[in-house]
Amino acid sequence: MAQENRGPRGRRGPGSLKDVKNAAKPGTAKRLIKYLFHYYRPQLIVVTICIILSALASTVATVFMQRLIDEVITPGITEGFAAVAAKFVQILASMAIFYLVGIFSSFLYTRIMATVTQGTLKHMRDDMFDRMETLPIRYFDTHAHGSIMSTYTNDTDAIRQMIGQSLPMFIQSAVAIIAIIVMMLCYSIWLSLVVAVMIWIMLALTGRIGGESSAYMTRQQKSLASVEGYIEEQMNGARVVKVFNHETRSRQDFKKLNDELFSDSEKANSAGNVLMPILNNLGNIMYVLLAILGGLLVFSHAVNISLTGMGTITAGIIVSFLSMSRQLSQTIGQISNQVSLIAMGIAGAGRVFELMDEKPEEDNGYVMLVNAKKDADGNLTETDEKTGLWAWKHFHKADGTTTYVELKGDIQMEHVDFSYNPDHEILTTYRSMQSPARRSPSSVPPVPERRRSRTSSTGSMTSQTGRSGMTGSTSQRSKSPTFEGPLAWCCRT
Amino acid sequence: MRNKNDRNGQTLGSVIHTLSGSVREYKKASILTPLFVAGEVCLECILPFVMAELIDDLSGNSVQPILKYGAILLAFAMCSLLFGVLSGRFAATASSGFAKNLRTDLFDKVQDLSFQDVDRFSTSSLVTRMTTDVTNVQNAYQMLIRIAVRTPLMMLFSLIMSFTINARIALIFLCMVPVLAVIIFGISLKVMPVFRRIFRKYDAMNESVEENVSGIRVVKAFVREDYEKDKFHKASGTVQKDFTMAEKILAWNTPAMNACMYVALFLVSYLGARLIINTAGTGFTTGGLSSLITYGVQILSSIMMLSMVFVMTSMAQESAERIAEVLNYTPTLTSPENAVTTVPDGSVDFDHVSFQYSSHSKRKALTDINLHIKSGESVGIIGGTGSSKSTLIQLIPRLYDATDGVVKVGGRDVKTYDLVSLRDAVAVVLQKNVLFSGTILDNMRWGNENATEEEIERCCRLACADEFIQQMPDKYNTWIEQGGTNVSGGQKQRLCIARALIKKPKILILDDSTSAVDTKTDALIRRAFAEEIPDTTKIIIAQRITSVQDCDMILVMDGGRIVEQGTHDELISKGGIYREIYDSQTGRKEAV
Ligand SMILES: Nc1ncnc2c1ncn2[C@@H]1O[C@H](COP(=O)(O)OP(=O)(O)OP(=O)(O)O)[C@@H](O)[C@H]1O
Ligand SMILES: [Mg+2]
Repeated sequence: MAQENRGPRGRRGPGSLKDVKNAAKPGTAKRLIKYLFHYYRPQLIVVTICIILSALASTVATVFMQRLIDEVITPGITEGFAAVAAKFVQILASMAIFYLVGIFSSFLYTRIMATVTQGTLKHMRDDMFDRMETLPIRYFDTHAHGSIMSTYTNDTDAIRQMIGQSLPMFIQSAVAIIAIIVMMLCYSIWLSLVVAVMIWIMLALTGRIGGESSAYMTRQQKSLASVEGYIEEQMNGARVVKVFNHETRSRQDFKKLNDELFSDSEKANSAGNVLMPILNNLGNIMYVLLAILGGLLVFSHAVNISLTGMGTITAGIIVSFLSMSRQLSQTIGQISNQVSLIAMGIAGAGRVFELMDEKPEEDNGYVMLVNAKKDADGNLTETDEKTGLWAWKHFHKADGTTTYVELKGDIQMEHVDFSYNPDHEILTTYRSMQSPARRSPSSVPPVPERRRSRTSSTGSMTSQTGRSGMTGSTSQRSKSPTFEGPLAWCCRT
Repeated sequence: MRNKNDRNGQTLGSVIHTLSGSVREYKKASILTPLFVAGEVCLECILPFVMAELIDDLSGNSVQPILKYGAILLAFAMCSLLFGVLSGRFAATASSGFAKNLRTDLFDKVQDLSFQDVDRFSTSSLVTRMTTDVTNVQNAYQMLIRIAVRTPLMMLFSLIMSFTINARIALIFLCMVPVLAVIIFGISLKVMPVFRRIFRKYDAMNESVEENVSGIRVVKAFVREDYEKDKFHKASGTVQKDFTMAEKILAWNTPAMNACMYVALFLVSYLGARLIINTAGTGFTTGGLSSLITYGVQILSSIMMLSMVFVMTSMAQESAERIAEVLNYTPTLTSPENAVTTVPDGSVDFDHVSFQYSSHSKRKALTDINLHIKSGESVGIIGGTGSSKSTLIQLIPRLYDATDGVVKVGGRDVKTYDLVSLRDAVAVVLQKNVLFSGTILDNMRWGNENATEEEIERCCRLACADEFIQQMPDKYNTWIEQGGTNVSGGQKQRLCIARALIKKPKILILDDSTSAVDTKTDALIRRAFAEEIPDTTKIIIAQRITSVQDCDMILVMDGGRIVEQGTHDELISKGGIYREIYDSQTGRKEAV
């Protein structure tokens, strides 16, 4: 399922460090939830109820075990089956009902979540893309393409993982944990204390190993990105590599990056791999300790204190306590797996929202390019037909009139300053320039002047402002749609 | 898994055989992992069994057995923990190492591929094979040596153990296993093709993003934003539809699993309780019941894990096939045995050379080319786009092999030369040229690793690159971004020419390499060539007559043939295509 990771490229890829740092802004989680609820409020409410129900169903199974042992089996052994038959049927029946509710609600919420997750992702992608299309070119110049791409691939994937799987599982586990803890306290406070200590150890370990794992994970991600960047660069330049017999050097450089990736990947995977066995077996150790302690308590006929009062410890209590503790350690294992995924999801959402919040290119222009035709007097009027004749429609706010000027490809630059980034000016107070269009109207397309927003503009460019109305047939005259007009010519060198 | 064995003639067996060649030094870790996994599973399965003993002693009247079993259990749990940690470590080493070797092997192989081979695979597909596909295989490998060992063992041991405790009740599990297996694997089989489809659509959607990110200038210049948005919305809509469908199918998994689990628990509780009561606690005990339930959960969740392993590995199978395809590929262009390692001079001869890019294509890119260039001569090539100018010169450094006829350099067939020596003697500035991320110096040293700074500066002056390099803040240490995006088109071309000059080649080929350089600089570069490297054969492809008119010989190409050949004056007086181009270019100049 791993989608291609298109991380920031190259050793100098801008934004690579920034991306990691920007990870979790406070409020991102809240905003994500808001985003979810915005589109799917009723569904999400049903889902939450279903999750809680299914968590409870799986947890109460152990209660029935205890009741079965203490109310049916133990008395049954001495009194015979007939004496406990009624109780037996009653317990089994309520067991069945709980199970059915559990099955039904888990089915319901997984199905609803399929729609919710994918629907939200679609909205998110579309919002992102729509915003991206409105961003100024400067944005694309200053952000590594790899890292823009990765918001669509890695980050949305992380979000899908989070809302589709981790979040429901997290809620379910949390409910289960609370339910288990309450039940444990209801059974025996002594035994619960043992559990509390073990859980504390487990959580501490999870935190440490988990932290280590995610630190290595980030490093692995980074070296993976640089290996991929290198591969991509070398492959795109494969012809040059061949022509210059550079294969051996390429291999050597690749080996270095690859070795780095290996060592990071080994550490990241190792930390990830050992977490589950450690938690699992700590659970086993807890299980054993409980059994020993429980045995001792039963043996010494110790007084059992619980939320429901005092009494003696029974075998039934210990058996269900044991299975509860097993469930608890498994649930903690599950949560520990989800935590890093949720963190990744939130970090991803942070980057997605950041892209959505990016300031769009300002379009203050109000002069539009329209199809026009000449009437009998030679005046230009607007028309819907494709006449091949274009005019700039200029609405004058001052006196409420509209004038039309024929499109000729006439560009003038007056006192234009330009720079790619604010601190490095390239075009300085360019006095005045007329496009050669004056002389050969067909050879130069009208340059859509706001392709780059000017940073320090102390001049005006009168090229009949307004990109919005410019459609196919005018701009297609441009042979080279990139930044190649006369404006570009003077921006270079 | 079985139906798709024959992809490009590869069987699953041969794919596995090929890939396993990359395990190498990580064989030890790859074997130790499953061993430790098996140890861990063993202990974990004995645990509930011993636990049953302990529980049954609970109501007894002695502390002794409780402490005894407790100690044994603790020892087991500790060992199990140790084994678990070790297996996790070794699995990480084995899988990361395997992936590292795969990447190395792929990269090495790809470096040996000829232009033609790269054309066949396509660059982007090769990149995917070295990145995503390797990652997929790495994950699958780790899964195979770890989870795929653990799960069946777990299931087997748990079944054995539960049969030891009580065969009759254990039968319930044995009956549940096939039922759940059929359901879960059925769901997997149904969902897999959907996922395959999703991946393709997903790639298509991402490609459209990529196109927009890198082509944003074009999108904006043509005011295509709304069109692009619509296109993207459609793509994301189909992804949504398919993905929702897949997840809805998968939504059956959890309830199916729960249902089987609950039915099993229910039956076990019912039968177990009755059995204990009827035998008055002699044949079957409370402890036994509790352990049976533990085993039951383990058995049924193993099936879930197995189905996951199944899905993941069969998804990775395609990746594995794609990797094996490259690893098993024999490059089409290699140095001959007993190759000649010195190129005597810079003469070039084409004898009845024809060429086509692939055996499938009907059209020949070059037809019956005969051409003789003396060492030190300068040759200009001119012709319309697609007239095979680039194709012609690519045969000289043997980037492609001629289909018919012989290409000679220094009087010898290029196929007799060692590839490295040949390409050292022939420097080509390709039409689609790139710079690499690194400083200008780094880039220049592609031509010669040991070039001194003086040499580099001299070559840059020859290529008229020195002037603008000196104006950059970091001069020769200026960092060039990947692909050379932070220098202008003309600057890039000049840097590429300088890089080729540093090779001190016997033959220098410029393929449309001054197209973005202004006419004056272009002339300066040509004059520098004539004065500073007179002995080097120079072949210049250009669109502008002025770039070639001083050459000793000018070739005019059209449709893969040389249609005119001679000096500028000869061709002008001949009044053919060359004259036409000349008139149109000079004519327009006068008009402007
Ligand atoms: N790698 C390739 N695989 C298949 N066909 C190719 C390949 N490269 C070029 N061709 C085809 O061969 C023909 C000649 O292409 P070539 O690049 O040699 O033209 P050219 O004269 O260099 O054109 P230009 O002036 O545009 O550079 C074209 O029809 C082109 O489609
Ligand atoms: Mg060409």
